[in-house]
Amino acid sequence: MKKIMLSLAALAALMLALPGTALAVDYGTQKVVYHINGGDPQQNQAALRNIQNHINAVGADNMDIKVVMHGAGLNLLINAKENENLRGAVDSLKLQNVEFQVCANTVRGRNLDISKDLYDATEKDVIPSGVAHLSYLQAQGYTYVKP
Amino acid sequence: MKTDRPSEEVLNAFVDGEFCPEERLACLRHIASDDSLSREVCDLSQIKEMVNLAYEKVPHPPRSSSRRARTVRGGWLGPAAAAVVVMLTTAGVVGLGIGTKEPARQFTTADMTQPLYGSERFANRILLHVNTRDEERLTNMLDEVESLMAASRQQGVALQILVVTHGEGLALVREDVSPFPERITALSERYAEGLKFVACLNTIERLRREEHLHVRLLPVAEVVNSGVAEVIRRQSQGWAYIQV
Repeated sequence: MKKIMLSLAALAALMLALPGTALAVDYGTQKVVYHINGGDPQQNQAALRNIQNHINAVGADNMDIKVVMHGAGLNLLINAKENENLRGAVDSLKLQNVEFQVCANTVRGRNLDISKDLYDATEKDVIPSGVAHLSYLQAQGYTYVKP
Repeated sequence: MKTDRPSEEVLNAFVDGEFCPEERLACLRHIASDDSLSREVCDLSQIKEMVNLAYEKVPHPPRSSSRRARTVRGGWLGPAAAAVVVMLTTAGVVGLGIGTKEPARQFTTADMTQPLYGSERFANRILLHVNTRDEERLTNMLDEVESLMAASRQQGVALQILVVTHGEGLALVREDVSPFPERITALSERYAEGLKFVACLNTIERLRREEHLHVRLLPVAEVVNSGVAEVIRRQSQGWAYIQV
C-alpha cells in the first residue's frame, strides 16, 4: 500500500512538474520568409521591427530569415538610401544574418540599377521571381509571413 | 472545439493580419471547421474594407494597430496552436519530400530562361490570395504569373497556380470593374492547364444582399463557396501560399 501511495505521489509530482516545464518557451530553430510587396516607408519600417521582435523572441542563432521583396516592396531598399531609420534597421538585421532578396522581374520592370538604386544590394541578392521564390522557400519548410 | 470559440477580438486581429504565423494557422484551422465562423470572418473582412474605403483619404494615425496586436497576442489557444502548427509543418515537410539545397544563384537579372529551380524541389502548386484591389499589386502579380506559366510550359514543368479572390479582391474578376479583363481572359485561356481564377461566393452574396449588386464574373472565373475555406484547404494540402 505504501508503495502504491508513493508511486501515486510521484505521479502527481510529475504531473505538476510537466506544465511548469512547458512554460519555458523554446521555439527551437525557425526558418521564416517575410514577404514585402508594399512600398509605404512606415509600413516597411514596422515590418522590419516585426522581424527584430521575432529574432528577439527566438534568438538570432536559431533563425534563418529571408526577406523577399517584389513590386513596390523594393521601395524599402530604395528608400533606405535616404532614410536613416530604414537603413539602420536593414544594417542591424543583416548583422543578424537576415537576407534581403529582390525580384529580378521588378528590377527589370522598374529599370533599376541594383548597386546604384538599392541600398547595399548586389547581384547575389537577386532572385528570378518573387512568387517562385516564395513558393520555393515554403517547399523548403520556411514559414510564410506577410507583415 | 466549439467551446473554445475565438473571441471577437481574436477574429478582428485575424482579419487585420495581426497574428504571427502560428496563431494565423491555428485560427484558420478553427475557422475552417465552422461554417458560421467562416461567415463571420468574411463579414468582418468586409467591414474592414468598407471602413478602409470610407477613410481612404484620411491619414493613418501612427501605430494604433500595433498596440492592439500586442494585447491580443498573449497566448490565444497557446499549446493547442503550437500542436496544430507542428502537425501542419510535419505534414507539409513529409508530404513534399523535398531536398534542402538552395537554388544555385548563378542567374543575373532576367532569368526565366534558367531552370525553374528543378521540378522536384520547387513547390509546383501556388495559391495566390487576392483580397486587395490595389492595381500595382495586381499588375505585379499578373506579370509574375505570366512569366512563371511561360517558363513552366517552356521547360515542361507542371505548374498549378490558383488565384483566389474575395472581399475587395473580387474586383479582379468582376466583369464590370476588373482593371484587366482581357489580360485575365487571355492568360486563363493560354494556360488553361495550370492557371485558374476563382471567386468567393460569400462575397458575391454579400454584395447582392447589402448593395443589391448582381455580380457578373468574367467567364473564365469559377466560383468557390468560401474563399477563406479554399485558402485553408489548399494550404493544408501543401500548396504554397502567397498573399498578394
